[in-house]
Amino acid sequence: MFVTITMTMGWITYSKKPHPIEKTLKVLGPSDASYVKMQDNFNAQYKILHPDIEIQYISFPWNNIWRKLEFLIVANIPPDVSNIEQPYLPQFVHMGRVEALDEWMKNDPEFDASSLYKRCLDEGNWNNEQYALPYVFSPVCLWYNKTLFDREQVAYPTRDWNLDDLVSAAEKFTRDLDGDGIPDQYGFFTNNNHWNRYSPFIWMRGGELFSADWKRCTFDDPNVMTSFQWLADLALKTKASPKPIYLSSITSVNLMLSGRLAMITDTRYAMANFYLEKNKDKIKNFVFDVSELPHDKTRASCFVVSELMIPSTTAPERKKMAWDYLKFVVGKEGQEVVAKEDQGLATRIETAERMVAHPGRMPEHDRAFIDSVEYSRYCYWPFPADEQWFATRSDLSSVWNGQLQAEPVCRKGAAGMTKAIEDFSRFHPEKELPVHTEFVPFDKRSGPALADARDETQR
Amino acid sequence: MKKYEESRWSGGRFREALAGYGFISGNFLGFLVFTSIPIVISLYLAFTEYHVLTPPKWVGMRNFKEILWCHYEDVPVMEKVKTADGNEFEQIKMKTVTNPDGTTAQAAETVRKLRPNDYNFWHYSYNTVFLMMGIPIGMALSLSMALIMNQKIRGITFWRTIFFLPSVTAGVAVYLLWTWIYNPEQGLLNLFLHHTLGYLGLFPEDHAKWPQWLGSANLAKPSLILMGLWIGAGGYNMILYLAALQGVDPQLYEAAMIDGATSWQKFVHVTWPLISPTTFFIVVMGIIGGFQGGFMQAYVMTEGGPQGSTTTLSYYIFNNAFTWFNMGKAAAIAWFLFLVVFVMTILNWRFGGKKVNY
Repeated sequence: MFVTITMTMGWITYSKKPHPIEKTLKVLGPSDASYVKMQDNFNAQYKILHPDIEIQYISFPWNNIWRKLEFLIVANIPPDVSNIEQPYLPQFVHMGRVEALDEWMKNDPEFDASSLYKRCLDEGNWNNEQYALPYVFSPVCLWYNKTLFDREQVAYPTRDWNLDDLVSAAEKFTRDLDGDGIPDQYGFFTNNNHWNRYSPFIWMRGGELFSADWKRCTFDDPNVMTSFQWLADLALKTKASPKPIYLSSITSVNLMLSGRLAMITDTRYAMANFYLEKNKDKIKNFVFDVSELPHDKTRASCFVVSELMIPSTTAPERKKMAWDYLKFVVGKEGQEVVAKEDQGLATRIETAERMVAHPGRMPEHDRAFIDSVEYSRYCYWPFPADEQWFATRSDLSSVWNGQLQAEPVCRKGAAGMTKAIEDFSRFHPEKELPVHTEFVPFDKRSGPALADARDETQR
Repeated sequence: MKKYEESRWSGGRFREALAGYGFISGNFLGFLVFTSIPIVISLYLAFTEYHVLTPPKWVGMRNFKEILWCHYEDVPVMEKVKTADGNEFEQIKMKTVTNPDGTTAQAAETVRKLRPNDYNFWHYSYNTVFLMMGIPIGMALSLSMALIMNQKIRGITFWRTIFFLPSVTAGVAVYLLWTWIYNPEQGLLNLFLHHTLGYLGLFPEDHAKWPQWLGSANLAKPSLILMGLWIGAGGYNMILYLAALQGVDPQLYEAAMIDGATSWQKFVHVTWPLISPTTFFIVVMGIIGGFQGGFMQAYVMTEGGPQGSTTTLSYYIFNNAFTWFNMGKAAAIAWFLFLVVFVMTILNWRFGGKKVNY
């Protein structure tokens, strides 16, 4: 009886005729619900254009996708197309495991690179070669609770705010509402455990974390050390911000949804939280909007970009199929799918412009994300310094909690990371670290110049 | 004699042996493929530079030198500074230097010191050994609980279940629970201490001075030990001690009582010697487990921080192998850890075994 049932189940499972291997495209991507939904829509749309090709989606948690990719390559069963997290792309490029796309881009008349945001394309360009194409992205901007601002009678943030304006406004919100001595309402929070949150505040002060050639760590630059200490002092001195340890059990978005946090820095992906079914009642209680980050000596922001690449180990006869898929995702039809998901922005300019034009729906100033593109970059670090980078991040968590000062941590981090890079060069004199092609310092980027004359209204 | 030798392997005995080997072959093949072959390969990888995506490159003893050797280094001198509000912190001592062009500048004062090549390795080794301080405390607690659970009272089965529950609760759920408990501002522990010790003036009123627990480099490890005791005190060690206690002949206690022994004397001279095999087993397994432990707590609760204070050797091996593409170094650390555990186990058998009464 048991054998019969087992055999029957096996027959049912495997009786479906398998798709021919040469017509199955394997795509490795995140297992997050929004990405899976987006992939289903990509599949449906791609099926219309290429009815003979079946897409097999290999999903894996986003923060470990590069591990999955690594082991699939080693096991000689690489996906044809893979999502890749930005910080790990240079290492895969360095190891020669990523297909360079320039020839594909040049020889395909249907592909139009100018239709995509150049800054997003730059993220996938290393050693003057394009290795990945971006399909969804978001800079970090300033989300704020308008209802709380109205209640405390504080003027809304504008793109002309500088850091002093931010702190001054944030301080006005911090209150102990129930008299137990613990503040329950705060003005501002930026998650200092994410490098894409603290790096803009360093860049806008003129600091850089590494030299352009990645040969030296510049954590000991005075602008960098001052920035880190400023970030810590937001919670320790000005009390405008809760300590990160306080938010180890609750996310900043949830604190904002509960009406007790006036401003956070986050990407456009935060919108997914605001519009979750379970948060519908909380949304009723406040109006939210978004603004570009405040500035200092220059404007700067960090953006997260989801990119697709072709592993170099993909079989040559399958690379054309992989390239066609890449082209589809960043093309008009694929970008419409991204727009429909309405979380990260489409990297196609025309599609993104339409995404942010939605009168009557929050956030009203959604355009701030597009306006931030020109002065956004991702925060990379050279992979030989991986261990010291993580150790410094661990030390920095003590800076945020007031147990250490930023300066000795930064100096120790700079020394450790520079030594790690030097050791790498010493052991591998024949190898050069990959260079981010368009490493343009923020004060030299084109785009909206620092507004000396203040705009009274946001764009 | 020859006939006897031939008959050893003839007919039934041979078939019996073949059947025996056949039955264990499945398990043995699994052990070979998934355990012993990977172990041998990892020994080879420990002498290579292997970044997974590129072929391993033989580098000899370099990985071991990197973790175990020392070098001279100019280290910045640190000085303690007090702020106006009474906080003390360390900062780098600066000195004025004169440049060749006659201008002056501030530079860090340094001193030449012998430093380990991999300071982090020794730091994490210290963390691993520190966390093992929970082993004797846990054993004492387990034994105490077993002594209590060994009573013949109504509902004892219920209490045994209750005490055993934390050890069978899913690890990640427990770690997330304790992350909440240890939250310095809103966590159960600080609020409890504030509402109890606070009234006696033994707990600070100022929230900024409340213990940071997992956020403090000094308190993070003791916090993990405390959590480990909560999970493990009523766990398998308690069950082992309970079984051992129930194996002690009650006549020995009667004889001791007749001789006028007190409870403590009964424990020291009867109970403790007779449960020594169990104690020895728990010590050996505890040390082996202790050296390999600390990974889940670091991965789920602290990411190894703050300041690397909760990173153990197992978490360090994981990070080297699967986060930093450094398989060769990870293998070297793993083999070093194996040697340490091997030596400790041998020492335990050699010296600890003498104390065991059978």
